[in-house]
Amino acid sequence: MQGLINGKPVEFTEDETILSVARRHGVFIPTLCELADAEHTPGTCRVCLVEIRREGHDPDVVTSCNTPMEPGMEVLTRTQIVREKQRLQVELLLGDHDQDCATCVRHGKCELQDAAQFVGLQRSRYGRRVYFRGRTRDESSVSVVRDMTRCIRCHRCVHVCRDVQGTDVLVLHEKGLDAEIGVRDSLALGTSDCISCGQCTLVCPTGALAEVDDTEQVIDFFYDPDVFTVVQMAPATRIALGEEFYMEPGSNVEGKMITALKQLGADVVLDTNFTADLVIMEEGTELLGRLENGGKLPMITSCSPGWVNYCEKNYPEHLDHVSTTKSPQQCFGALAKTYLAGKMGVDPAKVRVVSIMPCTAKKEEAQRPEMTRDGVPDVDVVLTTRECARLLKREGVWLPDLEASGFDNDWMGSYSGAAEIFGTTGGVMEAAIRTVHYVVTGQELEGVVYAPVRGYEQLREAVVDLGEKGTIKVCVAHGLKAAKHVMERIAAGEADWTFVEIMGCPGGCMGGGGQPRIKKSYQSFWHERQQAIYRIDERCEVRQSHNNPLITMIYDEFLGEPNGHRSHELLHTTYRDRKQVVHHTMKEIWDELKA
Amino acid sequence: MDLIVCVGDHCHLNGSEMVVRRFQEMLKDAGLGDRVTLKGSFCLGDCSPRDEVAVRLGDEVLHTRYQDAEACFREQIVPRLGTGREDHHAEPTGER
Amino acid sequence: MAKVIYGVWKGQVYDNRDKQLFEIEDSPDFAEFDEFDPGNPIKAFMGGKGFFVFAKDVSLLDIALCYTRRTAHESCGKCTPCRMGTRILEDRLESLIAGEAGPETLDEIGELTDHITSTSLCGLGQTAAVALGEMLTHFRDELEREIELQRASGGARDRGQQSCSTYVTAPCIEECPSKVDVPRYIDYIKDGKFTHSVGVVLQKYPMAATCGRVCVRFCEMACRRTQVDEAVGIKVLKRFVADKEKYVTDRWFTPDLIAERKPAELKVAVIGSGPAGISAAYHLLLKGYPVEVFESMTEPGGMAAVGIPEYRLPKEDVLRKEVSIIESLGGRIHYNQRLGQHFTLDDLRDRGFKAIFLGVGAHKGKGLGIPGEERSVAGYVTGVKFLLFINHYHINMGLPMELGERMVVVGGGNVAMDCVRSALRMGVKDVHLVYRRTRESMPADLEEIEAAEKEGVHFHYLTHPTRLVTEDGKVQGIELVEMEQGEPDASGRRSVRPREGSEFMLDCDFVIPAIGQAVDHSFLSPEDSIELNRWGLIKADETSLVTDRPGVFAGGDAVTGPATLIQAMAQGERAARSIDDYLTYGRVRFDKNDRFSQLLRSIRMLNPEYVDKPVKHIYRIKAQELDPEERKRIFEEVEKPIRVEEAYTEANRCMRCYRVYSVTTEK
Repeated sequence: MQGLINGKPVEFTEDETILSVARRHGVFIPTLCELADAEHTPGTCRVCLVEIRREGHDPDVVTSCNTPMEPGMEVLTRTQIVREKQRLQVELLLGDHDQDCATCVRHGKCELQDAAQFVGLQRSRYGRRVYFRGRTRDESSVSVVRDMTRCIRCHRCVHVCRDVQGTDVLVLHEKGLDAEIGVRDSLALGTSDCISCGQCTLVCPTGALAEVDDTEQVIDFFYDPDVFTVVQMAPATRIALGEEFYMEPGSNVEGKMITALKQLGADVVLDTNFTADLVIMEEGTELLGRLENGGKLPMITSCSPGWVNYCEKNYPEHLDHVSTTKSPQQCFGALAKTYLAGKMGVDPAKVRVVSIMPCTAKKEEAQRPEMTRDGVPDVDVVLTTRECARLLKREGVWLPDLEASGFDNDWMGSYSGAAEIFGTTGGVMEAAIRTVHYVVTGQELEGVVYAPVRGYEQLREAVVDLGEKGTIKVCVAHGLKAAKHVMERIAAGEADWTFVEIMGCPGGCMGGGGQPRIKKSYQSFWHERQQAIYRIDERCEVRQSHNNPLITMIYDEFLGEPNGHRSHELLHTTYRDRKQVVHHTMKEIWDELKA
Repeated sequence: MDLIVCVGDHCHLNGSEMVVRRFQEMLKDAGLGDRVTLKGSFCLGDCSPRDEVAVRLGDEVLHTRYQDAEACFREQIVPRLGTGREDHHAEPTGER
Repeated sequence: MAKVIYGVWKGQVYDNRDKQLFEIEDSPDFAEFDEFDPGNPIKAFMGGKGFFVFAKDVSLLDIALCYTRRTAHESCGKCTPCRMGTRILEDRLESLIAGEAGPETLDEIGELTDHITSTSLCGLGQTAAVALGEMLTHFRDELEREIELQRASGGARDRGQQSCSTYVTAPCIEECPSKVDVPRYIDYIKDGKFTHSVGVVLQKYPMAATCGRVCVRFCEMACRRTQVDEAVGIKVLKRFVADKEKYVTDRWFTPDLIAERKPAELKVAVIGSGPAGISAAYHLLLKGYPVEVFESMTEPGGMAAVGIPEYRLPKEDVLRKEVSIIESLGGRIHYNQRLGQHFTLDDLRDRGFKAIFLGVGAHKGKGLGIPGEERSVAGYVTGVKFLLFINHYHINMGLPMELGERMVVVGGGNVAMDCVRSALRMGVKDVHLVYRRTRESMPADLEEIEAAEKEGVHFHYLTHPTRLVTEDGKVQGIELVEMEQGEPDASGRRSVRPREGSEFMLDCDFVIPAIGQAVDHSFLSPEDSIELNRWGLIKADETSLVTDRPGVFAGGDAVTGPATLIQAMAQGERAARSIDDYLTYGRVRFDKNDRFSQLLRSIRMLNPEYVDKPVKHIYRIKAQELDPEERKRIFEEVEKPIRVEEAYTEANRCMRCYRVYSVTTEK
């Protein structure tokens, strides 16, 4: 089919939208609510206006994101009428938006600010407090803050929560100017079925949804001379933090991060990867134990707190499938305040553990009652990658300019390649297989790498050959829709896997809710980030967890053996049933309808 | 020629009224009022198992959903009103 | 008849301001627009395509504000221009009325109305600002004049008496006899709030899952989406939410639903537990009245129970469950209680029922009960149905009917007479009437019989059908037998019996059984003072559903003749409102919404308007069905439920064609 855009002939297929055709031909149309790679075109912002001319019709103005091109249609994207209407649209959008940008977490990175620029906004006549005064600010969750005075009703968060993750916690509430995104059943976010995966914060174009900001607390710790700060960083943060400083996506800024943190006043900078190796030892032993003693199978990984939350809130009856091993973050915290404190001669009461994570759910995990000993949390503060960037910028530290340094190696600072791959989907499984294969057959996995569990499909399966011991079936899932699928199979008794890795976020940790956002895109730098992770693995001297000398050391000197008494005390945890069922009465519904 | 729309139980519930209205409009617009007489009839005995309305043109019974009445008129009925039938009785004039 | 002083509609301007009132011609379009309710003249009207002013002293600013306020209130809030624009318009109009702003505000208003109309997402926004925009374009001088007066008086000027009512509707809502708020429950599906969606439906009637399976879908026939690709699957979406939300439980229907309980002596009796009766009982219970339902059969549901097969409507899981809502709300259903047999209307009165609803249905008017008789056979239709359809298609729509060459009508009442006489008028050449008794015994009016005889109907007395002969699905003839009279029975009436060996065949191509009445009125005695119309249907006022007997109301098939489930339920709701009025005020009051519907129908305002903007084609989901081979042997539901993803896709096809209308009246 053929038509014209700005006088140039274009070709398109039936029902293709004007925006899609324009983009293919390099014509720019400002947009706001749409998110092309998530296939989200709700058409609510009405910014992407264009003028169309068709034979037999009056000229009309339509939204390009969801209007199909028709044969013979002439599209004009920059006429004066179009520009005036686009400006008026953004002006109206700002009308019930809290325009106090200076205090907003998205200041400078906001897609609404961008839209104002794209349309050449020169005045904003309609902003009045009364228009947004009625909207909610929900701070009930320790992971995600909802500030609906900034919501532009783009519905991206609803789309990601409902259609991509399948948790379906966010819904539209109220109408007219009070319309805002709320939590289903009018609950507060912190006590709802939300699992804190933070995917919604990745796609929100404004400051309406954001991670809870804990940077002030970290600065307190860094500058308090009485406190001994131990910092850990997750595998997926070091290959993404650079994006916040305009570095090439997939740059490994591990060394620079260490320098930066030391510069800010961290006492000791160590690595979550170390405890990732540790988790492999513990979890691998646990798996073999279940295999031998008829324990609950399939066993499911437990390092993703989003996934654990999901299991507790939706499938509590199957919690016994989940491994009891704590996540690397939490293992680190427990050991920092015992093993490390002992080795460094520091009073454990003065140790504060700060972790840099790609994950919003880690904030909640750190505050779980199960993750404390004698009332003291193992991990004190969690900063997402975004907050870390913010922290550095606040303190005038420009990451790309720094020299790299190494970890304070001593006792918990070195890692194997298997640990680094935790940051991507399939990584935990591969790391586990590398070690389990060795333990069972006495031989290292040929070629080191176990490719069958790599990839992007939401649900992947493989059969692992363990020599004389036979084979085991494994499964890797990422994203909660895949998790649901796995749990439904388990519930139906149809699951024939031995070991399952579930990551709450699509892509695994590298796609976590706390990672740097990319404007107008949802999962753009996945490939670069994943490649970076695998590259780090390849360049490691030691590729398997069981070959990490610091691991051997900690067992020899402190823990004894995997799943031993000390391990159980410090490195294993329990879970709770957090399922809630909300009942409705007709009266409630009708009262809401009449409001 | 008679164009008969069934208004029997089944067809009525499938939207005979809409079909009648559409046909009335289209006959008027196309100026076919003198060639085609639109009528209604009770059950034609050819009820469709799907959500369709039965329509009889001459000896043939067609089926259409009420939503497709316009398309049915244009694509199935008008062609069948063709030139051949009415001139059926005309004398052949040698060469054609 | 109302006179248009000035106005704009669909771009056409009307301006009679320079004429005297008596010089202005009557507009037949506005025949209904004299008064809103009795004694209350309509001064102005505003809708989605413009406005009209019928009185000289109308305040345009007030009309515009009232209208805009409603649109701002109805705005869903998803899209920017409508959400923000209508609110700003409201604010501006308010400040103009308060005398705080000047005529330059009109420029801003003009920019906004144009913007809202051209860039809004749904039907509401697209029509919300049109009238105001037209007002501004064509009658700016009137507005400026008013603004000056307001400014001069600081907003304190006496603007005369006017009161404004608004009404929000959509083509699908208007077509639905129950006026279910279709776009609203579809909105809730779009938003993933299925419980709210079913709540919207349940505001109108309790049988959501039943309706979602068997309704004839007047709404879909009016759906504007048909102009893009196909109508939205409104019914299938209703079934989806009804099935998903297990709402028929004690938890859902709790006693606190009933806001205010009426005194216990205001008991209401509902006769019949079909859709009309259940709907009436439902609404009366929600209004706080004690209700008892009397059902003649042993199971509830009326025609829905007996007339619809199990594989379309499961009785136990769906129908009976929904009927039990009546009991959850405190109502009682008595089975095996037949009016006329176990109790009379007077008995009910004596037992303390202050109002009665007759929802007895039109179960008779069935067939002759002879071999060869089948439902879908060409050339066979029951009497009352025949007449109703002739009325609808032939008389109202001007459609000539093809009724064959020779018709045989069986029966002796007024329905039969109407059938034979109508048939002659519609061109049937040879019309016969067959009646099993004698001419003297015919219940029809004598004048009718004589007129029919004069017009050439062939009468066969003491004749009765024994077999219907069909071939290839078409009636070929009817076999008749002569009857002979026997001994008189207790009432003095002579019995008749077939005369052996006297069967004969009467070739024909159309047979109409018009025996007995459609409504079984054996329960009525003359003392009951319930009147029937000439077709044997209960006479009741069209709007209020009041019968001739005070305190007795009727609705459903018993009044309309065999119609549909949704019409019966709508009548049940209407009757409940009337009964509530009657028991509270002693009379049935004016209903604003009914009046609006009437006004809109009279000027054909809601003819599906042309969808001008290009819309992406998304074809309608097809509900899966059980495999035909498999299902013809079992009675499980044939139509399978749809999945959640399909529901979202289908709901997103709805274009939300809301329109606001307002009427400004004196009082």
